[in-house]
Amino acid sequence: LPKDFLTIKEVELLVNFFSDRLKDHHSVTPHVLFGLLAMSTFTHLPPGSGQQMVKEVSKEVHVQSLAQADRRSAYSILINLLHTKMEELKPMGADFVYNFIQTMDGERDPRNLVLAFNIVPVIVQNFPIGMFAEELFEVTSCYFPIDFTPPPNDPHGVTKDELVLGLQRCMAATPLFAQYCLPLLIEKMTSDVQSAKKDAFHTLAKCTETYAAKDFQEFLSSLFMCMKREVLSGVSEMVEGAALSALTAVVSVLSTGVQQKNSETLLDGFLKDIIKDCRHHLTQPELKLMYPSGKLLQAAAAGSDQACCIILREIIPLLLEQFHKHTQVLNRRSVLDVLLGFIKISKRFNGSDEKNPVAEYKDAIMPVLFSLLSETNFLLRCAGLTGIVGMLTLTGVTSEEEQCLAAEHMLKLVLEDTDSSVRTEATTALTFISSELTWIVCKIVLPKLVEYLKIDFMETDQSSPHFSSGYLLNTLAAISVHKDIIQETVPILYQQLEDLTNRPATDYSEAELCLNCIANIVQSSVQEKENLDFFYEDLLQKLLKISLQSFINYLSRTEHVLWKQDILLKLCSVIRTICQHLSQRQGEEMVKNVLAVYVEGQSHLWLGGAEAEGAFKPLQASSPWQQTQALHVFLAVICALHQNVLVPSLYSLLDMLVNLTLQLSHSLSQLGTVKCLAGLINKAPQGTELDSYLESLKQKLETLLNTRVESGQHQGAALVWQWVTKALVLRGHPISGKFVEKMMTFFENSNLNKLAADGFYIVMAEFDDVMTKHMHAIIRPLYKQRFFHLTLPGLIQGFNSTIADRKQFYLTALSYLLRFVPKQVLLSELPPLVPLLVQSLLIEEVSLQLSTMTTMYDLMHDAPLILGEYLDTLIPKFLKLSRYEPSMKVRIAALQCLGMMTTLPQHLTTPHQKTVVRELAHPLDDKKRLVRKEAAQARGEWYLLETMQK
Amino acid sequence: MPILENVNPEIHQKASAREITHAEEDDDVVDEIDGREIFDLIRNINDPEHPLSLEELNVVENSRVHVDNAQNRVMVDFTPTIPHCSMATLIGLSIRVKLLRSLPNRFKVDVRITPGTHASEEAVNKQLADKERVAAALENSHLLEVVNQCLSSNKTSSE
Repeated sequence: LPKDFLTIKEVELLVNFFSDRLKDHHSVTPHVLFGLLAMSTFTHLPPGSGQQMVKEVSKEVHVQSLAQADRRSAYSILINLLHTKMEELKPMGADFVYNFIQTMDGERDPRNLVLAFNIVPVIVQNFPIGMFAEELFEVTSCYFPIDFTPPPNDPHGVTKDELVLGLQRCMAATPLFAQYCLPLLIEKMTSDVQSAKKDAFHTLAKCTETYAAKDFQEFLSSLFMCMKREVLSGVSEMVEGAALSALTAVVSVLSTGVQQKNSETLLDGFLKDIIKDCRHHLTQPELKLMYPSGKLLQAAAAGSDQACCIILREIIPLLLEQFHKHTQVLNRRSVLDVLLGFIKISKRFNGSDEKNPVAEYKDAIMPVLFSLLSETNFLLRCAGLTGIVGMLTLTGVTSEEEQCLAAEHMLKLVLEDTDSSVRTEATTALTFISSELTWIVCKIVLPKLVEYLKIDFMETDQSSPHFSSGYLLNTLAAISVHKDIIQETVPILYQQLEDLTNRPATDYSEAELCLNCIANIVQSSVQEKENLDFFYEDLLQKLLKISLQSFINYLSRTEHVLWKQDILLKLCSVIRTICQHLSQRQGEEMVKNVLAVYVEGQSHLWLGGAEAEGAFKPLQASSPWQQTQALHVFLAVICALHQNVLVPSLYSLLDMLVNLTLQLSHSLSQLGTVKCLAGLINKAPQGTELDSYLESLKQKLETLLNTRVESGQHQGAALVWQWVTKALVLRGHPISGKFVEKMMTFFENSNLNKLAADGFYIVMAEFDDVMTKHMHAIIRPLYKQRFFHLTLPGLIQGFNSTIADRKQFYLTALSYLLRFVPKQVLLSELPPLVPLLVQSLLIEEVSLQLSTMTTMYDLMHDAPLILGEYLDTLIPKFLKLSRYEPSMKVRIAALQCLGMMTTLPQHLTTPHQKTVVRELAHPLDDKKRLVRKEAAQARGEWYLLETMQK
Repeated sequence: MPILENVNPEIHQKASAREITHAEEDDDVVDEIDGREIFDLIRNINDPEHPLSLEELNVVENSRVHVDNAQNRVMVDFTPTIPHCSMATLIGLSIRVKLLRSLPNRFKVDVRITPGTHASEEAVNKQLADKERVAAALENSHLLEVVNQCLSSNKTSSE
């Protein structure tokens, strides 16, 4: 029924009727409540009827003697009326409060409590609760702390959090509750139950939002005692964190009262107590309580600007004094760590009228930090660095000279320090400065680095390892976080790469490093438009040109850096990353260019007047492999662009790619070609043109697969088939079903069965160079699930009916499915699969064994009961594999599975304990250390079974 | 909560994880058991009193672990945090049990208190060296439970 179905008159009649019926026999009450509930939702509620309903219900009904659902109706009526008829109910005043207390007193059902907890804050805000404050607090707070675990498969979906938060809101609803609430919280904070303590601290923090400073007055010292106890004992990180944030919240509320009279002393007094309690521990940096005391003070300082000033003025001089007094490295380090904590806290300081309290001590702190940088102990050098960075982050504390000095020091450490962790730390520090204080880096750091880089190229026999050009390049890449810096560093890096390609014999690793640096910079900065335009106009064109040069000039060279697979692919990844982000206009320009050069062979477009030894024909199988593998560059450009960038004469290009794949024998080129084909098909515009093309491609390939030609063509055709299947499954094209069906027949084809499982890998795995989300591929949601459900029955049936020799092909395909399918899907299909997994362990094929064990390891965690049924079979198999001579990886995986088994239900594992412990004595003496480590771990866990039982 | 003997002990830096070498990843190379490997086995044993590991309390140190592969002998010295520590025997027992469970049985293991660091050093050493007493101690289910407590790994923190 629509909410305005009934007129005012009709509603009035019904309300009167229902109200009267409440006086009838109690067995009709539930139905009447239900009727009233419906009434309360109507928009045409006559004036006065809201009050009438509330009064009648409270007068005639004893809510707590009703069943759960009916009590729920009563609460819902109240909620609805409070929502719509507040003005009418307000005059009821304290009566309403009293009625409500009676209504909810003794409620036990979590579902109803959630409702009741929602009502309380509304009442508190709108009704005078004065005389009933204690009662109202009593009926709600008796549930504190909430101890509720929803039953498994709970259909009502009431969570513990919902209750906890609801109750928190009630208890913190009004300052009137303070005198009852705080003692209760203190009592819970001293209990032994960790979750009760945590809840108490959380609730306290919540209370500070409404309670005023004076409400806390008499409880401050007890509250602090509780917090201190938790933080100093450090038993539970969770409780500790809750206590610290509660402390921050309390200090913050105390500070808000400072403008009012008397409160000043309250905050001062509280902080004085805290400082007095903690300072003694701060003077003993060698002992355990140093850190927790620091944490307490820091939490208090984080409460407000005043607190920050008061505490830092007291503590910083103390810590500086401690630092000078102690000479031992570890002690100094502890003092520094705590000091740093305070510096970090002062970052929150945003006082408009006062300066950051750290500023007062800057002249004492900075020299200490700088002097640390030349300490002999690396820990101290690191601490110094962190300290300086901390100081630099404070606004308005450090001067420009100090910032420059800091940058110089960091650069010096980056270049000259003997310890790698200090160098890493210094590089991170420089990275930080680059983003915050860019001009300093441009002015001081960059010129220095470039200078060093030049020296290094001349004297290639530099001895110190951390001073290699590779290291310098990495540093350059690390500081390239701002566009001003990027525009300086990327050309330097590119120049370096170009120099390398021009040298006849080259160290590949250096070129790879160079490309890695470029790749990292591009990856992290390409999102910004300014950077993208720079990369598009400068770097991308250069990279395309340099790669084209290397492909075309294959005659005069016997080797070339860019011919090397890893380096070529890295180069492609940079190109791809840039192309992914291009706008439509830029993309269309790219397509035009790349087609002209790669398909039409107009290489002069990119090379200009530069020398070219011959024609560039990457799409012809007769071309040398140096040219055909250029298809990877083609792929990186054309398959990365946005979907709305159309490729002209797409279908003739597709034909070329198909033929090329079939003819090529150079496998890297072939892979690039087929990926390119699949990527284009995946993104081709929907329509009859695509459908008919696919149909003809299907027929062409089927003919090839069915005729008895030499296996070369067979394999090529199978490869095309598998990749096209992936492209179609991904976009959910209607014809994909037929492609998948045919792929299943590969298993029983004696020419193809060895390749059959690969198709499953190709479809399920994600390749980062084609058909990814970032490359704007058309990806249907849940395609993996679909493919899994589509093929699984066929695989199982095929496995069961095939001859022994072919079983492993099915199992391998299955292992690919399991590796990539989402866990929830797998769990529901699991039971019939486990026997197959067990079979897979028996086949002597390391990769299959390993992937099966990885799956089982995860399953023991996710589906303990299902795997638990097979322990009798599994344990002997794993034990046997734990001694599998040829591969340590197999032994390690088997031992990890055995260790993981101890998490299965006790009654299943205990019967095997003796055997496993006895058998695991062997691998303890394995010749490989890594195996021994796992064996010791697994055996230890099996020994411990008995303790966990109790 | 029982009253702790040493409420505010000194805390020491933990060693970083052992780096895996190429030789260790090579299937054909034989890795000898060395001191560090044994130290790695015992350094994460929990102290019976504190939520800290024996390594953090400096009770065990890499330099006080010795292995002789040829003679099949392992020697571990441990240092109680205070000379009157009543937990010394329990700590020693835990180390012993851990090694018993984790080392091939060809090894003879000696666990002793670092000379000069405990009041009743000799008595404790004697107890720990006595095979039968160790075996008998492990028959005691309560004691075994305490030892297992020390050996149970708090998975989230140790990994």
